[in-house]
Amino acid sequence: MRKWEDIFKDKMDGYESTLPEGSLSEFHALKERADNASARKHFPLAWVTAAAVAAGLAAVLLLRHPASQEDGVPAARQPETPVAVASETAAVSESAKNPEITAAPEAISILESISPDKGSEYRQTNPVDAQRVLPMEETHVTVDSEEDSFPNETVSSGSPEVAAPNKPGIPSVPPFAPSGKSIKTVKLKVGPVAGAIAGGGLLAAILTPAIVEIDNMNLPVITKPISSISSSTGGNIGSGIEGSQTTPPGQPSEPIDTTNPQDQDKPADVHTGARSHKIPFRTGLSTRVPMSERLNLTTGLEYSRYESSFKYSISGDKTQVAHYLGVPVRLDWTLASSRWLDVYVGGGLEGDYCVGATIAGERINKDGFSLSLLGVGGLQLKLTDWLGVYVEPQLSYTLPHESNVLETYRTVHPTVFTLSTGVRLSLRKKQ
Amino acid sequence: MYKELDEQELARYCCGRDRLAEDELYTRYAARIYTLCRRYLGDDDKAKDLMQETFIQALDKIQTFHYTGKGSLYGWIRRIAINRALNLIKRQRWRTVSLDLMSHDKVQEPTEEVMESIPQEKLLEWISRLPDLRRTVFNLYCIDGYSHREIGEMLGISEKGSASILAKARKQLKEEIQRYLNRQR
Repeated sequence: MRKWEDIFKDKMDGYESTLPEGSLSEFHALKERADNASARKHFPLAWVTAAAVAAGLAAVLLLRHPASQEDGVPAARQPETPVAVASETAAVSESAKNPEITAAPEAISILESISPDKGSEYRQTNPVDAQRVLPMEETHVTVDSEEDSFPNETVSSGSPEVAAPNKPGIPSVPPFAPSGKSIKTVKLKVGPVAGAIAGGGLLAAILTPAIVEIDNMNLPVITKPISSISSSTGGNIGSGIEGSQTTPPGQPSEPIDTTNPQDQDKPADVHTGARSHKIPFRTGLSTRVPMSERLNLTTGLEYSRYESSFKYSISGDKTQVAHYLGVPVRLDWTLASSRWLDVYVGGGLEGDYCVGATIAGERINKDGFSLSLLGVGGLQLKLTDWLGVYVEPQLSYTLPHESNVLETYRTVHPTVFTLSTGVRLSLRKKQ
Repeated sequence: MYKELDEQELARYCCGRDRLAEDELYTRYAARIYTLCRRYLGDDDKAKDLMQETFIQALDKIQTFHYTGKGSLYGWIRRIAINRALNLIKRQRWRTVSLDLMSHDKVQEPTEEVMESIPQEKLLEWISRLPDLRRTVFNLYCIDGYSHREIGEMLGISEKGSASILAKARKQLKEEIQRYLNRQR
């Protein structure tokens, strides 16, 4: 008698499931895509070689030192052809007759080299032109020969009578002198952690959207609302005296300066001590990263809204609203799991930052960073392999911190039991 | 014409990038490879994707195939599919964990007649319901004939662990069979 597993095996071995519709055409499409992708990878060797040679040449050209004085190879303009020279000298002569026409400096030099008299005549009649500073490369215009001239020779020509730059009225043009510095290529390296840095920067940007703007504002410091009516000498508080002014939001009221007769009638708007804190509203996006079969790292982004009401003597109830963004980091242990449901427990920390706080619509100084300890137990309904909806009873304890300046629900009740719900993404490695 | 080709010739034509030969290879083995993928992954859509990828890889590497006898081409493609399935299972690291019920009842071994009467789709469905690790070990040991030592090396578990997981998989399948039989009566 055969074992049930052997029968199981025989039945499974020979079994052919019905293929889904369109499998063959889908296979053709995938095959074509794979073939194209594979073809793109194979570059002809010649192209690779050509690209390498071009890159090498470019590197050599960029990195080689430019010509130095010792090399004695300055840039030199090729000598003008006689025809060209003649046309230029004609132009210069014409401009000499017509002062409004200005001639190119090199033309003047050419003219002087050919006809020094006319050249100097032109210079005398057109001192502006004569004093035009020649561009560096044009200081080496040669007419008579193609021989290189040293860079420290300013105007080079065959005639010694040609005006040199150091003559009066003609500014000296510094000879071409290489800087001696080599051009260095700049290598831009993109570190392998650029993606992580970008991601961290994005998260920081999400968490602190208004820090710079708010910190730059000169906001009045608000401490906890004054629980007792400040003493004041003279004046009737709360009697609706004409001309009374309400203390600006966030400002503790100050005693009335009785030395100033005008302040005697102004009552202070002070906190009466009555306060109420609404249960905070919290929502967020959560993601779970499996670390082992049962252990998962859960993190995400949470938004919390704390609303409190403070009663003031004159202005009545003022509502304080504080907004927090937090990042929880937690390790969850899966107790039980099925196709549709997960049951887990976990613990961790959550960092919170107050991104904005107002009282009666006016911005006030906000809390700084705070840390909370978390303990959770949860149920997650798996909608798909990577998306689920969770319900999480959670116990958290907010650690006191000196940067916390606002009085909210959690300063009064640091240990809070909340029932969180949300959407969770389960991250998996790309296949 | 291609339908009459034996495995060696078919592989040779596929090496020459004969499109019709490639289609014949796909048509000949796709259904069985799809069944294998369904057994390992427990999900029809993923099994279809895995099957397609298997054939693309097989045709890409067809030059490396050495014919060793009848059935060797199917065995070679099957090995590719199993390796890809295991890589997928190991990479996703999302293994369902079953909370075992504290049942000490001994489940009766199904008889030969009982097993023959159960449709293959039902068997496939029960395999799919197994948690990832149990399903993988059961497939590798009971159906594909790997030893616990080989399974341990492939999955990174001990031989003892493999045997223990197999025992749990067997128990769960026997319970499924028992429930099925009870419903049939």
